[in-house]
Amino acid sequence: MTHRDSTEERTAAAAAGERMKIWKSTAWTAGAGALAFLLSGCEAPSGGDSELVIGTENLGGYNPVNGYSVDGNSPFYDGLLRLQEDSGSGEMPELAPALAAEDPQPNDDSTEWTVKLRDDVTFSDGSDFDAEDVAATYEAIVDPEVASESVDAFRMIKAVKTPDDHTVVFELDEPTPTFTSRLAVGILPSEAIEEGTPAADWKVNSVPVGTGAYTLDSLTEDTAVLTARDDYWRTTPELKSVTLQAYADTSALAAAVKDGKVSGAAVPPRSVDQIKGDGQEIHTARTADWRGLTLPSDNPFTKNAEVRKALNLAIDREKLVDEVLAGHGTPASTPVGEFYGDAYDPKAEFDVDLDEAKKLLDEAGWKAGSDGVRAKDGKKAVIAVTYPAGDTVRGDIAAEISAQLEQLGVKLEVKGQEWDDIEKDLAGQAIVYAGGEQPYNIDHQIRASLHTQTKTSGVFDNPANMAVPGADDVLDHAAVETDQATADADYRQVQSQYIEAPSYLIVAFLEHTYVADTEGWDVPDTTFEPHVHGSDWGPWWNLADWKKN
Amino acid sequence: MILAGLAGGAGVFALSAASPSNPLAHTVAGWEFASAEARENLAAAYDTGGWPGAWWQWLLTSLTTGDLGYSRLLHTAVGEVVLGRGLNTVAATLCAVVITAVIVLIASVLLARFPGLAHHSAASGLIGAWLAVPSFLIALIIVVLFGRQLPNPATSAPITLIPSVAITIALAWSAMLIAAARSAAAEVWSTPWARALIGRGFSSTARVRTVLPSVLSAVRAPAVIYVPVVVLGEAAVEAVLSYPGLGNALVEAAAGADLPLLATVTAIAAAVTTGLVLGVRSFGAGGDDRFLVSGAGAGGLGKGYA
Amino acid sequence: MNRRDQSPSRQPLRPRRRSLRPSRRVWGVLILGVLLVLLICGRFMPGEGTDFSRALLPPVDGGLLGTDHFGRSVAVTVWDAAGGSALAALITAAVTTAIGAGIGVVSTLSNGLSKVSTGLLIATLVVPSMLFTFIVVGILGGGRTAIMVTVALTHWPLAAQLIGPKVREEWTSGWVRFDRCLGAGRTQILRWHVLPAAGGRVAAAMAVIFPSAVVHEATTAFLGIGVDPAAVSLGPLIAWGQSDMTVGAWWTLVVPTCALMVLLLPPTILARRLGERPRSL
Repeated sequence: MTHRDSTEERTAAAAAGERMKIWKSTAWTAGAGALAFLLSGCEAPSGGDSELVIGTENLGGYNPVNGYSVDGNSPFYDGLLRLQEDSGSGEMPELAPALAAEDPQPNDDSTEWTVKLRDDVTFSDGSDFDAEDVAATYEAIVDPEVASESVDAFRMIKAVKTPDDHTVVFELDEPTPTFTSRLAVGILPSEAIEEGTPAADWKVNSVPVGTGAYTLDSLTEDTAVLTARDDYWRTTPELKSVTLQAYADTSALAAAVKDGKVSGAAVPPRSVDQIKGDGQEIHTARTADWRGLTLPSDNPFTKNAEVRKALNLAIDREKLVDEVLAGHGTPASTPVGEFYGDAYDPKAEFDVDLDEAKKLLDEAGWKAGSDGVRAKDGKKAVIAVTYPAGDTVRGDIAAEISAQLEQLGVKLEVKGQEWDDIEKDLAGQAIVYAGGEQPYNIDHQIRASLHTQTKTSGVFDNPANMAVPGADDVLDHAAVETDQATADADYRQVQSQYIEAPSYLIVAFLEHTYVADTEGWDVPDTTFEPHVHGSDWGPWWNLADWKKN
Repeated sequence: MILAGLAGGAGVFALSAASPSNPLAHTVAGWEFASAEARENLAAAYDTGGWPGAWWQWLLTSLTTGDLGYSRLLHTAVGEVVLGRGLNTVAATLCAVVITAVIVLIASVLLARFPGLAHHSAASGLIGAWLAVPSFLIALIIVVLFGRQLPNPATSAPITLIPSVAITIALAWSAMLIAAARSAAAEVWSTPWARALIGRGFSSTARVRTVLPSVLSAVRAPAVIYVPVVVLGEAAVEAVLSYPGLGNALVEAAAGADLPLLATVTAIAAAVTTGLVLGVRSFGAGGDDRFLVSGAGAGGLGKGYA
Repeated sequence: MNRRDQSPSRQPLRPRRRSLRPSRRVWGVLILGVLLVLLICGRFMPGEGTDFSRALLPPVDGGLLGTDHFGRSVAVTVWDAAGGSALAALITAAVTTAIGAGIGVVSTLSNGLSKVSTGLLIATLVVPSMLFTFIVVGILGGGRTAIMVTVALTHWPLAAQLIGPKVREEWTSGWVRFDRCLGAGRTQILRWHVLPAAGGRVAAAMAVIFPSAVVHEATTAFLGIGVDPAAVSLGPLIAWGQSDMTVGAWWTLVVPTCALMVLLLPPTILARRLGERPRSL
């Protein structure tokens, strides 16, 4: 009995001590919990009362001088001209006056363009819009110190004169009949221009100030809140508040649409039908956004023009469009599509011909090896291919091209990378490339991809710096040709030159696909889109004209 | 000895940071405001030295100027990232601690109350299975099953995102602790005096009072030892649940090789770990290493891959 | 932890907890071995080609377990990936255990060495090994090999701590001295005493390191750190599955997840059983 008692006593004492400890630790944990809630409460909720949440992949970088809204489409900015809805006629939409009071007037040889400006427009910071702002914006784009990424399209600007507060005169180095398409760039107030500083570092990248229908209320790493301006000059937007939510990659974005976290977003073509939920609709937009592979100039295999032609002949583009893009696209062999009217050469298309492709490779000395991969002088027909890792559509295209080229005895080593890594080796590996950054004039559409690099070229203009023999001269001539028919003939000639010695493996023009819930609103039709897509495009390209129904 | 070593190290830092050959010392502080030339110098320094060189440069600069650098991926100064996101991580961790404490306490009481439980092979198998599930998979399952119900990061404050993160971390952590608790309970319940207690018809409260202390003390060591592992090792959970915490930033930084951010988070991890180990050594049981070793060992077998 | 083991009087009271009795243990190991061999065979199967016309077909329509994002058979692809992971993890576990055992035995030779070894144990067990892997692989790249090297670097002290002292204990035990007096050679002592005694510990160490290596690889690759998203490996396959779940293709997520659990569950449970009382084995 005594033994039991003493045990009990001991355990009781121990238990009492332990109870104390438990109480103490309970108090600690409760305190910790309270502290946790206090800490996290420091971060204010954001965008909670927005009428619309749109998913996107990128936020920030809102500097029109550095390529943002170069095509004249942004909630924050207006250009002198603006895009129209896609008429559906097959041609590209015309540009209509926006901040310009009327259509721009060229002189006889298109070396001087005069634009009359509206006088009833204010910036979101309250200052008045005048000729000074237009001149400052365009001068900044061509300022080497500013290092604008979109300078190439504006390389011909010599000076911007302001005869009065509401007139701008662009003086050009050379005749530029397609200059109107350059007049869509968003205009910054002259006070926001930071002369001598790289455009990538300007304050407007995160604090945009423009004449657009919306202002940026707040911007964090993944959320932007937009508020409508009641004093917008063109109309009074009925959609008062919009939140843009960024997701890390295509699949995270698609999941957010599916889960109803966002009202809509750009969605990969192959999954739009399954992702579309109740109350959501599919919106599509025609584009000049082409996909293909750059072919490395620093690779013994693709260095040869005959080889590049063989690769182009071996690809079944119809199959790719049907299976990888689920029919949301059109096969493409060159950067020029039917929508360029007479400048497009219908004969400049590759028809799939695997036997011809094999013959070309045999003739070029690349013979089939025992392992199925062709080789010449001990070097294998292997191409390293890279694509931005989060972009599943590009990854799919790479996988399909790789599978198709396997029949030809060519091996593709595909890997996904971050842009910073891709940029390190542009000539040694093939990139799953997207063209059509500024498609509203054919000059830039074709020049950016086919012209060899010049001192105004952007980093991703013709990344492998591969030349199409004779094309540079024809392009330079076409750019300054004021006779439309002659210029069109030049562009057709470039396409036939390209077919003989292609510098890319171009496969398709995309049709951009969006899933969106627009219930309760009358939404303007989509427009003809450039490469960029996302929350500034699709059904949202013209938020100012959304009307309650 | 240690102090002298530290002083010497600091001296070396000061000297090399002040040297004109350290381009970082003058430029990182204002990457956004740096001239193009200064940026090129900086980029060159990063390129030529490779990553150890860049890491060393970062260390020098951050120690001498207090500037942690600029995150290329998040477009923000690293200092701000750490402040903003660190707070979120601390908050989620504290919540996870609370949830874990509750789960482990309940499990310990049950183990102390029912003598057969600890010895039951189903319980052992269940804990084994639970331990086997990697934490990113728990997070993934939560996302897939409850994706619709989870709050929307666009329209809600980080506080509303905490529960899913905290629960996932707590689930991963408590598996390990409950495994330790079970071992301890099994051991206690197999001793003759414990069996004698049962034989003499001890009430259930008395059982709990008697056995619970041993069980809890077995849990304490691994719990303390693995705090840093749990806090910093659960980066995958934050990434899968897109929680705006430091761990998520770390994953992004590692995937995108964003050195200043990566280096900062690593330094924080090292500091937290060292601090905790030192703390446990000084104030833990008796101030010797046995406590640590037993904790590390108990967790080690169950830890697998926290 | 096992103080009571030294007291013979309490021996009869030891509970029937050593559930892995020899026969069952043999069976367990046999089944595990066959499973492993089967898995690893998948690594050497001819890989499935991309065929987008067959993408995301559900089970039955698209073969046994359906097809994935690229139109490959999920069954074959997952088998391939799981086999690759299993093979890599097995090699890692064996090498790490061998290194750890070597260092562990050497460090028991002197008090100082043992202190160093204990310090290393604490240091590495406390360093978040997953974090370490993210950082190293994120910066250096290198995919699977790099991940396995970081696992070896962070896990060897565990093997050292488990195996070293046990071997030393056996080597200096009374039995061994007794046998030596009777003229037994080193090989015989190794075979009769040390190996049987340390065998359980070796198995325990491998049973911990193997799943750990698998999880390190899967997590790192799932998050896309240093590994190509199109690689045939469980992490990327699960990531693809998560993305394809949004279009209703549940099989692309469920199958690789189950495969991962098949790789993890048996060794983890085995590790629990062996690890509870490593000394009694």
